[in-house]
Amino acid sequence: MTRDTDAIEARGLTKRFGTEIAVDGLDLTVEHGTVYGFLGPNGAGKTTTMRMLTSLMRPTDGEAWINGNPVSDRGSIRASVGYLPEEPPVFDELTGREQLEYFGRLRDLPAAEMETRITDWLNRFGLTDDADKRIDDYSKGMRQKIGLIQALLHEPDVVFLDEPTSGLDPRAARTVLDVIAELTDDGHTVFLSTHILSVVEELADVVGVLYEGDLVTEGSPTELTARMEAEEGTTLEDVFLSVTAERGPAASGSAPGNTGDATDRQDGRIENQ
Amino acid sequence: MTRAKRPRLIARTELRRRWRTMKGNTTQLLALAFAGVMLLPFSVGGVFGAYLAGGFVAGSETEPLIEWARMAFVYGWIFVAGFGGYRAYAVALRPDNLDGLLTTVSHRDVIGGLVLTELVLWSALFLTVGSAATVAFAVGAGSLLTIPALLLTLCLLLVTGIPAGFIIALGVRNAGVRSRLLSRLRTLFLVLLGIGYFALIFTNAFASVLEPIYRVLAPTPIDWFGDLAATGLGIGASPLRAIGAVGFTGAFVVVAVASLYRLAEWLWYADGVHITYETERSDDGSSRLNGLSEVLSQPVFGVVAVDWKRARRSPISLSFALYPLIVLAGPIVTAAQTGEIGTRLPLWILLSGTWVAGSLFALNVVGQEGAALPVTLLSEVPERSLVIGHVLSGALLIAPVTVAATVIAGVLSPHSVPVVASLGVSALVLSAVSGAIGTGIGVGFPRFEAVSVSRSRKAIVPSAFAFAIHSVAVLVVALPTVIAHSGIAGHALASVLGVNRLVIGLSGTLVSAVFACLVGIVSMYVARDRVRNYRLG
Repeated sequence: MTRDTDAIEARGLTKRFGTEIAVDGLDLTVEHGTVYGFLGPNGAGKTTTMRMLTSLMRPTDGEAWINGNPVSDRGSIRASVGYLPEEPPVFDELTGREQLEYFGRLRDLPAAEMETRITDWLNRFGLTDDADKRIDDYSKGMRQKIGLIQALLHEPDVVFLDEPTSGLDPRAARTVLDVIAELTDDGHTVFLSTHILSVVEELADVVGVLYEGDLVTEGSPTELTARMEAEEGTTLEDVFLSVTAERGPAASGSAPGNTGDATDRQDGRIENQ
Repeated sequence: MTRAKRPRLIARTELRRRWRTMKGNTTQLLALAFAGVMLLPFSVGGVFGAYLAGGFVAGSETEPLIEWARMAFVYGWIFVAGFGGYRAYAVALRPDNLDGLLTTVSHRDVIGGLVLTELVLWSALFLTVGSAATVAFAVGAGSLLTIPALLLTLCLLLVTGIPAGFIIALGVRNAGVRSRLLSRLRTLFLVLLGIGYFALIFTNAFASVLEPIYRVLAPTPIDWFGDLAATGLGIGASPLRAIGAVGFTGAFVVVAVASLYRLAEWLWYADGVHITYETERSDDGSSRLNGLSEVLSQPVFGVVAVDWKRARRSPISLSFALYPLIVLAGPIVTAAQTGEIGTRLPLWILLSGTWVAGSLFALNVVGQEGAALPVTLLSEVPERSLVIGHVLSGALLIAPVTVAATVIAGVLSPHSVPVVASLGVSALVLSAVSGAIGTGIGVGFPRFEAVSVSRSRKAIVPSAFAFAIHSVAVLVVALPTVIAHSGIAGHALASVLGVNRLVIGLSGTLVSAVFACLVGIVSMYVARDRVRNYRLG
C-alpha cells in the first residue's frame, strides 16, 4: 500500500527482544526536505528504530512508511533509502575506491556515472590521495567517510545516518554537516542519530529524544529550549539531560537541567506548551 | 602491590578469561571433551607403559638404559620448547588488550604473567598424567626415590622448556616486525610452513627434522635431565650430572628471564615496519575482470570482483579451503611413493574440488558480508546479486582447476579415456553446481562473528554446521559418480548388469548431475528467499 504522505512516518512502532522492550509504540513523522535529529542516551533504542525504519529489522508491532511505501516491503523502499550504520560498512581488503564501486554496482548505477560520483565524493571528503590504498590502512575517520559516501552515492531521497561525525576531525565533521545541509536544500530528508547535541542544534528542523524506547519529547530545537525558559541560558543539552534524567539513575536532581519543572508527566514526556 | 604479585595477577586473569571464553563456546568445549576422551586411553596406556618400563629397568643394569633416559628427556625438552614456542607465537604473545596492560604495568610484568599462564596450563596436563606415570614407573622399578627425582625433572623440563619456547617465539616475532621482507611475505611463509608440516606428518619424516636438533642439544646440559630422572634407579646415572641439571636450570632461568624482558621490550615497543598496500588501478585485476563485466549484470559482477580481490589479498582468510588436503594427502603420498596413480585419486580430486568450489564463497552468503550487510541488504535485488555472484565466484575459479586436475589424474590412472571423459563431465557439473548447493546451507547456518585464522588476522568463515552439512551434501550428490567410476564397484556393476563399463560411468555422471542440479536449484531458491527477507534481529 502506498501512502502519499511524508518522507518518514511511523505508527505504533514497537520492538521487543523477549521480554525486553527496545522501542515502545513509536509515532513519528518526518517531512520531506527536513533534518530529523534523533537523540537518546546509549541503549535508548535509536539504532533499533533506524533498523526498523530502513526495513533491516522487523517490528514486533506497528508499521512505518518511507515516501509512503511500507518498510515491510523492502523492495519498495530500497532505491529511496541510504543508510550509514554505526559501524562503517567496509571490507578491509578493498581500497576505498573499490569499496565504493562495490556498493555502486550493487545499486546498479551506470558505470560511467558511478565513477564520476565516486571521484566527486572522494574529492569532496579529501580522500582522493588515499582512494587506492587498502581500507586496512585507513583511520577510523577515513572509514567513516567511505561509509558516508556509500550512503549518498545513489542519491537517495531519505538518508539515515547513525553517528555520521563519529571519529571525524573537526574539518571533516564540518564537511559532513555542510553536506547534510546541502542535501536538505536539494529536497532530501535526513534522519540523523547522534550524541553530539551541537550538530543537532545546528542542523535539525525537528528533534526527537528517545529514552528507554519511548519518544519522550519532540519539537524544533527552538521549541524545546523555549519549554525550559525558566532556566537561564537553556540549551538543547539541558533539555536532553532533563527529559532523560527523570527515570535514569541520575534522577537525584543533581544532574544539570533536571529541574523537575520541565517534565510534568510520570513517563518523562514534556507536554506541548 | 609487590612486583611478584603483578605477573601472578595477570596469569590468573588470563586463565580466568580463557576459561570463560571456552565455556561460552560450545564447539570448543565439545572439541576439548572429544580430545579428552581420545587422549584418555593413551594416558592410561602411558601410565601402564610407565609401570612396565619401570619393571624392565629394575631388571637390567646395562649402559644403554641411561643413554635412553638422556635421549628421552632431550626429546621431551624439544617437544616442550617446540610446542611452547608455537603456542607463544600463535596465542600467548597476543593477549587481548595488550596496550591496556602495557600502559598499566611494565612489560616485565606482562611477559612474566604470560609465561606463568603457559606454565600453569602445561603443568595441568604434564604434571597430572606425569605424576601418575611417575608413580607407576617407580612402583614398577621398585624405587621410591625415583618419584621425587622424576617429578623434579618434569618440573625442570617445563621451567626451562617453556621460557625457551617463548624466547624462540619472541625472536621470530621481533624479526617479523623489523623485516620488511618478512612482513610482506608473511602469508607465503605461513603457507609454506603449513605445507611443510603436513608433508612431515604424511611422510612420517619427523625424525629427519628432530634428529639434527637432538644432535645439537645432546652435548648440552639438557642431556643431564636424564641423569636426574634416573637417580636411584641404578642404571649408571651420574650424580654430578644430576646436580648439574638443577644448577643448569637455575642459571638458565636467570638468563631466560633477562632475555625475555629484553626481547619483549624490543617487540612491544618496536617501531615496526609498516606496509601500506596501495593498488595501482591498472594492476587491480580490472583488466582480467573486464570480460566478465560484459557478460554479467553489474551487481553480480560487483560481487564476483570483490570476492576475488578479497581472496587474492587475504588468502589466509580462505585457509579452510585447505581442509581437503587432509583426505587428498594420503592418496597423493601413496601415488608419489609407488609411482602409480590408482583409480581412486581422480575421484578424490573431484570430491575435493567440488567441496572447495562450494565452500569458498557460497557457504556463508549472509554472514561474510560482515559490517557491510545492512548496506548490502538495502541494495538493488541483493538476493540475486549475492547468491548468483558468490556461486559464480567459486565455480569460475575452481571448476576449471578441478576438471583439469581430475582429467589429468584420470588419464594417468588405469581408467580408459572414455571413462575419464565421463569423469571430467562429472567434475565440471559438480564443481559448477557445488556453490549453488552451498548457498541454501549457508543461509540456514550462517556465521557472523570473525574467528582467528592466523595469529594476526580474523575472518568470518562458514560455520561448522554449514561445513558439515555441505560435506554430506557433496558426498551424497557425488556418490553415483564415485560408485560408477571406482575400479571395483564400477566393474562389478558392469558385469552384474551386463553392460559396458562406460555405460555405468555415464549413468553415474548423469544421475549425479541431475541430482546435483536439483539440490542446487532448491538450495538457491531457499537462499534467495532468506536473503530477500533477511532481517538483522
